[in-house]
Amino acid sequence: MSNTLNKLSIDQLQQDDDFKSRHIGPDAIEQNAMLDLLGLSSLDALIDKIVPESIRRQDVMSIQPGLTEQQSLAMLKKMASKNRVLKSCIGMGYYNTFTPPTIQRNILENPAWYTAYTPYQAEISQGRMEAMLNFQTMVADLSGLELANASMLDEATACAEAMTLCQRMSKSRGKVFFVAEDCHPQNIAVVKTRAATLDIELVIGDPLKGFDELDIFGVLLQYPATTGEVKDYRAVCDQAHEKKALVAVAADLLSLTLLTPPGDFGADVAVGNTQRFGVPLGYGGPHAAYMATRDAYKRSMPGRLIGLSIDSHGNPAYRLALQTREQHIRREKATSNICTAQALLAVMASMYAVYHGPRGLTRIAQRVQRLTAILAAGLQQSGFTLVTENYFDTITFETNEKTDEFMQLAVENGFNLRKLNDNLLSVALDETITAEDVETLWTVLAGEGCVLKVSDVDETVNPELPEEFNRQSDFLTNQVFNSHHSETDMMRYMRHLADKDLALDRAMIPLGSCTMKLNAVSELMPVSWAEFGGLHPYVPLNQAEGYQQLTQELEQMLCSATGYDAVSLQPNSGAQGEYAGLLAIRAYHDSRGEGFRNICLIPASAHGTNPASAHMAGMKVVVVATDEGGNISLEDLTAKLEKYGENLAAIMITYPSTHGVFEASVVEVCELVHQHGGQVYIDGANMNAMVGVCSPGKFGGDVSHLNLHKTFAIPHGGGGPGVGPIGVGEHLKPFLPGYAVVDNGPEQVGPVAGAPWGSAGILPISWAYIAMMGREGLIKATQLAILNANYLAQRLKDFYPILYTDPNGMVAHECILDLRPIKDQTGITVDDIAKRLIDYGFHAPTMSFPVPGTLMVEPTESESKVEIDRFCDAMIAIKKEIDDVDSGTLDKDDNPLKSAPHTVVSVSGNKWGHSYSRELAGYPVESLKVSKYWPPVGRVDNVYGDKNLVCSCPAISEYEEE
Amino acid sequence: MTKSLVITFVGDDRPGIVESISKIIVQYDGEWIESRLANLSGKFAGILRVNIPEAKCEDFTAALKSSAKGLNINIEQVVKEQSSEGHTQCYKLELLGQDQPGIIHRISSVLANNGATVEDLESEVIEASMSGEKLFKASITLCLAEGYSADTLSEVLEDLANELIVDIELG
Repeated sequence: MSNTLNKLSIDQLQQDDDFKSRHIGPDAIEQNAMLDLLGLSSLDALIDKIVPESIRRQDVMSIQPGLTEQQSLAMLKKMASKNRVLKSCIGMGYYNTFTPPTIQRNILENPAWYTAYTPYQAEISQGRMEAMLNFQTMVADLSGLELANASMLDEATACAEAMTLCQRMSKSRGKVFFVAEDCHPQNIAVVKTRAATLDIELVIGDPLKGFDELDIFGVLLQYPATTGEVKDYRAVCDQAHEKKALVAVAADLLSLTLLTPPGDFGADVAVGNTQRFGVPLGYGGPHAAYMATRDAYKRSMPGRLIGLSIDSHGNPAYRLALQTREQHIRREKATSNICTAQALLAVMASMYAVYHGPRGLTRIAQRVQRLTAILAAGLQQSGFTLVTENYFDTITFETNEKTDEFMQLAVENGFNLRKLNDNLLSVALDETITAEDVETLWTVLAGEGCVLKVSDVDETVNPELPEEFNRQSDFLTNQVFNSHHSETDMMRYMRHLADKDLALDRAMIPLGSCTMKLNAVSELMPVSWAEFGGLHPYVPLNQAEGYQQLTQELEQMLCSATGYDAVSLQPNSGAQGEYAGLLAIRAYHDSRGEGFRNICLIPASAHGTNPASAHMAGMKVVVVATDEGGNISLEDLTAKLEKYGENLAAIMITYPSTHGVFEASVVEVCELVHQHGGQVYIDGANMNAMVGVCSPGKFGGDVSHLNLHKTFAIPHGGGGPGVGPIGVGEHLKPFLPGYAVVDNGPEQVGPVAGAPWGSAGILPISWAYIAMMGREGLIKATQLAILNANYLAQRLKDFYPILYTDPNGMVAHECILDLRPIKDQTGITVDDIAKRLIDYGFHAPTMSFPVPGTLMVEPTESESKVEIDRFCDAMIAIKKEIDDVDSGTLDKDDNPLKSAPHTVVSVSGNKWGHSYSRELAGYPVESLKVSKYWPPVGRVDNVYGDKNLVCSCPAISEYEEE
Repeated sequence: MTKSLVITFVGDDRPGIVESISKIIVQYDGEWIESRLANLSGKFAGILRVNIPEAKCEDFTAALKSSAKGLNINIEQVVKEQSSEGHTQCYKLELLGQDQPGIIHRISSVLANNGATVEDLESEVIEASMSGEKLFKASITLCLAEGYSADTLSEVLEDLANELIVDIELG
């Protein structure tokens, strides 16, 4: 071996290609073996056979050759160093915080947590669901409301969702939503964008002055207000309720440890950000926002909800509850289009609460408030007029003609303050502020001569708020928040939960449409750097030049990859991107005097977020049929275009189709729609089959969203964070989402998220993925994604019918296994097979989407032939078990499929009540004896879980034996 | 003079059922007025109203029954026309929730107790995408008798929805 290496030149000995082969699973030998099985001579031949000639990229993708991991890290470090990290006291929902090191390492930087998927398979997700239940409990407790969900995308969109919840649930027939003028500006901006397409009249004003003459269905308040003022909203709530309207309050979570929570003063919904519970600022995200509401409104709550149920042995088990609210089931009738949320960040925030406990959190809050009171007292002693009377962590004071001067002086001393207007400055303090910081702020504002000492002022200051503002109720009394306060206990708790789950760090997760590929460590490391993580989203742009470079370069890379002319990185999920893309289309039609165009054509096979987003964008959904081959029926499309063409706004298609096929007719479909004046939205969820091979922006798309948490390597995190940027053609560029708070953004359409670049803190991941793969690597990844899927289909097709293939019998990057004949013949369901796969050590593929009774399998390019074979072997073994059920060798009802998954407790217990062996149950193949994942619970009872809805930690007494 | 007859039938689904029935109707100078036909689990069933000249009714009935061929056929005379005076408004009810025993029973009880009659009911059990849970989906057309309020019915249905944890939409 060393002889051949000896013959290479120094250049050839460089490992420039290294990352490509680290990211891609199968090596050359495995690739050839798979090509052989398919009867193909090369990867190029594979692509030629599958991707229609009419849409192949003719141009060369303008992406640089791939970097090594070390080169990528060095480039990002250089970029990051252009960011200046000051201490930002800007507030507005974003605050500096200390991420407990043990949480940083054991959650944020731990693949067991960040490579996990959304917990649809409850049995293999118990760990993270417990963490999310803790999150729900934390939010419900602190907000004083009964029920909280498992995270929202950000505070601003949570406010918009609160608005639509109020509309659905209020008994008032009014069309007006009243927004307090002292809400954070980005909240107002996003709510405005949302209301514009929903026939809601927004009135912005002073809630304390009342809204007698207005026909309101809901009210939005900020608590504390954006100026820092803590106000008593009891009368406002009463007044709103008299009008049968509902009240939503955007509340600061840390303040609620001290202040009367919204639930206690009459609010119906509470929303806010949990970022200050140990999640880095990240220049705007990702952060988990929260929503809490009354139990009566539970069926109307958007987002995921974790609930407690029981498993087949009667033991407690977690599951996703009330899924009938969600887009994958209700489609355009869903409570919201939200799909991916902010799971990983919610877990972090919940662990912060577990780590600190109620006393620790209260102490932090009291310190913050005390320092604020001290700062205020010192300023007043120095002659400043304070505008805020009652406050928690933020004060506003008059600075008049010296406002800009103070802002500049603060920057020179390492602080960013907030310019409220030409005459007022705001300062927001936080967990990280020290006494020295306060003294520095005094010298900045009161001059060098200021000799005040924090310790002195502390003795005389009175931080007490009027009684009506003080929290009376307990919170976080559950055991979990009061048990893990040593680092050893905390570390073991997090490990204990992680061990229960099956994530990518243990096995392939072949979920169709989810693209669970490698999230390389070198992509993730920069996320933890302070130069990326420590920036407040609203700092002056000249402090964020590193981010400017990053976002511009990433936008350019994504344009090259997709063939579009411009990109917005703002939307923080695919669904959010769909919404932004449809808004762009609407605004485009409006600008041409064709605002009456409001029909959106959507195939029945589309992902549920498509119709849900269309509904949010104010469009009417008309379904286009698919033919028996699973392709868009051109006949039906033509008929629908005839009927609706005049009012056609857009068609939303997924390409390759959700059925896993490169439909040859796509160019024609796009042309037909364009002829009738409509725009083409191409859902980019399946981009993994296209990068470098065909460009949606060139074969007919006007706008696409991408899922960076699918195609471009951002980890799935257990259900978020996601990033859903949109790429648009030149004609739609002016209609990209605008910027909240920050200047120089697009102006035609309002913002769809609170931060201009969305979850900027994780954008380095996709930059690194693209930079390290380089042009050749990205094309190779696409080829391998398609090769792996076709190899898998080839191995399984004699056991399970492959539902849709192209005329050559090929699939794209995923395939659908039809299990309906098995169900008809033997009664074995998709669910049974999915749960039996757990016994074999696998996460099931996507169930019953887009076709009920099927499994959709997407291996991705990161899986080696060894793992794909292991999966195929498992599926083939399962088919044999099904055949045994059919022939009577295994009992029709008492068989390993119906009883799956099997826990180690049941398999090793003294009583074994099954007619098949324990070995068949737990170790159906030999290789499992070497490496075995045991699910912590048996099959979870879904009906029980929804009927007996429990969405927060049970009280201790419920765990005690009777 | 014509007579109105209501015909119901159920049998194994095969091509030509509708054709063979309509042929006989035409043979006896009858008119096919209105009908609901459906295909489920390999069976084909229907309910239809035909107008037949009074003189030919008996022969028509005999001919239809003897042409049966695997169909269970029932023929009844329409004694009294359903007057639509008693009914004011009709609504569509959409229901979606976890499949559990007794949903239809609970709904129909509520409807009966609140002055509503079921005009049409379509239901299915579907596998939810992503999680594979079994969902029960129903679409009911109901008509409210005079004196009964849609708002009251809505409220009662809302309570039921909360109890069963299903989504009910009355439109």
